[in-house]
Amino acid sequence: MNVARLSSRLGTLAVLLALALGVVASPLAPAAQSAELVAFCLGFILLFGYYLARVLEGVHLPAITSYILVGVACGPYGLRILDAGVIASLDRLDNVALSVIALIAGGELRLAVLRARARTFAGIIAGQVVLSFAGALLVVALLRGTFAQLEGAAWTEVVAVGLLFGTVVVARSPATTIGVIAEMRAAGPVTEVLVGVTVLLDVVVLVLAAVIVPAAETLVSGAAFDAAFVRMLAVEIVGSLAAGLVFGATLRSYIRWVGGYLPLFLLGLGLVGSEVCRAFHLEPLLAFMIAGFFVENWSEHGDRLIHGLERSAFPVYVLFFAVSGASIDLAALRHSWLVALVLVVVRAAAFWGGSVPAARRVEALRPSAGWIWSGYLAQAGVTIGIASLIARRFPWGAAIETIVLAVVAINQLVGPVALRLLLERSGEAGARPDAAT
Amino acid sequence: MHTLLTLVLLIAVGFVGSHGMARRATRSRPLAGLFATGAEFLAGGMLLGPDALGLVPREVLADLEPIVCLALGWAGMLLGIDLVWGDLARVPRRVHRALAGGAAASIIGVGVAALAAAPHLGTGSAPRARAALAVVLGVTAAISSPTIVAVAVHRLRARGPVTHLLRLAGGLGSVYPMLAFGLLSMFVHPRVASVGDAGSALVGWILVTAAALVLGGLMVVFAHERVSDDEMLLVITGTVLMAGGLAYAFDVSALYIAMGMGFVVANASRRRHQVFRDLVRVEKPLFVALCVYVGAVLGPPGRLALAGAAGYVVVRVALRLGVAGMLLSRALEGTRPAPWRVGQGLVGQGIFAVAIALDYALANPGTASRVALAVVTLAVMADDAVGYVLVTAGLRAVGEAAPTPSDDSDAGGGL
Repeated sequence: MNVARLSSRLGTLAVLLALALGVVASPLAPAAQSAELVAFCLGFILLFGYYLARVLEGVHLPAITSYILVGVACGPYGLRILDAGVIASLDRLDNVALSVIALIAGGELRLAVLRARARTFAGIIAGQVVLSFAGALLVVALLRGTFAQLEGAAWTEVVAVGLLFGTVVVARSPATTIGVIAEMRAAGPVTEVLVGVTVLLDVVVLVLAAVIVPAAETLVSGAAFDAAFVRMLAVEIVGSLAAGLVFGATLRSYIRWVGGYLPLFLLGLGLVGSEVCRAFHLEPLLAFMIAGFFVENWSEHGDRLIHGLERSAFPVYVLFFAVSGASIDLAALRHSWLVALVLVVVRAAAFWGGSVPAARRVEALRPSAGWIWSGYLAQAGVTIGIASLIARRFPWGAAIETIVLAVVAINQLVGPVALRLLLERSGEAGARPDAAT
Repeated sequence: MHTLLTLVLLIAVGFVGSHGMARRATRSRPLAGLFATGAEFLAGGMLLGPDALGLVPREVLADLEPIVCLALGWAGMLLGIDLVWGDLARVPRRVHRALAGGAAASIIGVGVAALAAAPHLGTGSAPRARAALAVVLGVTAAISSPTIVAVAVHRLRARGPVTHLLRLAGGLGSVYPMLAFGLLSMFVHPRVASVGDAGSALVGWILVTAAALVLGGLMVVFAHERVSDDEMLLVITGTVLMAGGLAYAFDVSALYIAMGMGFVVANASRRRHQVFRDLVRVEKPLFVALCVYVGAVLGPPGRLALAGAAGYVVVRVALRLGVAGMLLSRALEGTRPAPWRVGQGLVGQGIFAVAIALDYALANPGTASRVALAVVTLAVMADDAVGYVLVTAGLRAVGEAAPTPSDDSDAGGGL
C-alpha cells in the first residue's frame, strides 16, 4: 500500500472517529439506549470496522481482529462510543449475528468428513480435554497461594476450582474460528479438522459443564450431587438439538419452495430463532449449528445455504466481533493479567500436546501437525457464559470469573492472528474453489 | 413470547408481501393504485398494531426504530441518487418552473388550510404545533407518486408528450417538496427559539445540509475503492444508519440528509450505478417493513383523523388538478390538453409522502406530528386509489393510451 493511499485511509478513519466522538459527547445528544443513538453507533461500527480492516490487511491482521480492536477501542474501557447502554440495545442484533455464524459453522460440517475423520476428531478432542484439565488442576495447585479465597481451603475445594478452570479452558469460540476461515476462504484437511473439532467441542463443553458444575458444588459443600442441574442442562442440550432440527427443516422448506431473498430470510430466521431459544432457555449457538448441519447434509441445498449465508455474513461479522471486542473486560485483564497469562500458556501447551499425536497419524495433516493447536486459541461467548454461571453458584465464583474474563481477553486478541498464520502456513488460505471471486 | 409472535408475524407479512401476493393483487384493476403503493401493508400494520389486535406491542415498535431509521434513509438515498446534475440540466427549465410552482402552490394551499384546521384536529393552538402540522401536511401534499403513473403507463402502453411529462413529474416531483421540507422543518424545529426566528432556522438548515454533504463525501471516499456488492451494501447501510441516527439525535430530517448524501454520490462518485443497484436490491423488504410499522404505530383511524384526511384530500386534489395541472400543461410544447387532464396524473401520492410524515414524527414526537402522520397515511390510501383511476382516464382522454392494454402488472411496490 503506498503512503498516499494509507494517509488517505487514515484521514478518513480520523474524520469518522471525530464525527462519532462529536455526536456521542455532544451535550445535545440523547441518552445512550435511545434508538437514534443506537442506530448511529451501529452505522459507525459497521463503517469503522470495515475500513480499519482494509487498512490493517496491509499488515496481515485478520479482519476479525480489526473488528475486535474497534470494539475494544470504542467500547466502555476505551472511547466509550459503544457504552454499556448501546451494547445492551444491540443485544437482539448480536443474537441474530451469532445465529448466522452458527449456521455457517454447521453448514461447514459435512457428514462425509465427520465419518472419514472421526478418529482424528476424537483423538484431538480427548487429548485436548484431558491435558486441559490436567493443566488447570496443576496451575490451581501451584498458584493456590495467590488466591485469597483458597487460603486454608481443603484439597477437595482446590480440586473443584481446578475442574471449573478446566471446563472454561477447554471452551473456545466457534464463531471466531468460522469467521477467520470464511475471511481467508480456506479449505483443506487442516480447515476440516479445525472446524470439526471446534464445533464438536462446543457440545462436549456443554456436557462437561452439566457434570462438573454440580460435582464441584458437591466437593465444596459436601452436599449431595445436584442431579436437577444435570437434568436442566440435559434438557437444554436435547432441546437445542430439537430446535436446530426444526430450524433446519424450516430453512430447507424455504429454500425448496420459495428461494428468493435468502439472505433476508436467514436474518429473519436468526431473529425468530434466537427469540425462541431465549424463551425456552436453549443454546442458540448449538441449535443453529445443528440447523446448518441439517441443511448441508440432508438436503440438496447446502450450496445455496452457504452462498446465502456468505452474502449476509459480512455485516454480521463486523457487528458481532465489534460488540464482542467492546465486551472484553479490560479491567479484569488489568487486575489478573499474571494468572491469566499463565493459564493462557498452559492452555496453549495442552492444546499442542493434545493435538500432535492424533494429527501426526494422518498423512494429510502431518506437515501442519505441530501447529494445529494454534488454530484453537480463540475464546468468547460460551466461556463467558460458563464463567458467569460459576460466579453465581460459588462463593469465590466472582474471582474465577475475573480471571476467566482476562484469559478470554488475551485469547480473543491472539487467537484470530494465530489461526490466520496457521491457515497461511498450511497453504489452505485462499484454497476454496470460489476464492477468486 | 409476545415479542416472538410479533416478529414471526412481521417477517411472514414482509415475505408474503415481497413475494408475489401484492403483484397478483395488483391485477384487481379498480384497486390497482392502492396495491401499487403498499396500502395493504399499511392496513395490515393497523390491524396487527397495539391499538387493534395488539399482536405488535409498543415495546417491539420501539425496538424496530433503528430498522425504520434505515428504511427512511434508504428512501432518501434513492431519491438523491437520481439527481444527476447533467440529467437535471437536460430537463427544460419550463418543466422545472412548473414543478416548483406546482409544489409551492400545494405547500401553501394545504399549509394554510392546515393552519386553520389545526386546533380542530387536536394539536392545540400553540404556534409551533400548528406550524409543524402545516409544514408536514403542506409538503406531503406536493408529492406525486411515480409508481402510480408507472403502473398506469405500463398497463395502457401509453406514449406521448403528456405521458413523458408525467413521468418526469413523477421522477422529479418529490425533489422540490423535499428541498422545501429541509428548510421549512427548521423553522418549526424545537430548538429554534420561535417559529419566526429565520436566522436560527437558516443556520440550522445550513448545518443539516453540511452534515448531508460531509456524510455523502465520506460515502464517496468509501465507494472510491474497489468494493464488492456485499461490501458496498455494508457501506451504504453503515452510512445511512449513521445519517439516520445523527438526524434523529438532533431532531432533524433523516430523509433530507440521506437525499443530500445520495445527491453527492450521484454527482461525485464513479460507482454511482453500483450504489443505485445495491439500494434497489434491498428496497422492497424495507418498504414493506416501513408500511407495516406505520400502520402499527397508527392503529385504526379515529374520527378526527378521518375528517382531517378527508379535508386534506379535497384541498390537495383541487390544487393538483387545478394549479399544478395548469402549470405543468403550460410546460408542454405544441397542443396543450385541458390543464385538469394533466393534473389527473398528479393526484396519486405514494408512500414517500408517508415517509416524510413518519420522518418528522420520529424526529419530533408529539401530538402534531402524530396527527400529521395519521392524516397523511389515510390520505395517501385514498389518493392512490383515486389517483390510478384518474391518471388512466387522463391518459385515455388525451389519446396517449394504446388500443390494447398490457396484462402484465409488475410495476409497483416501491417508494
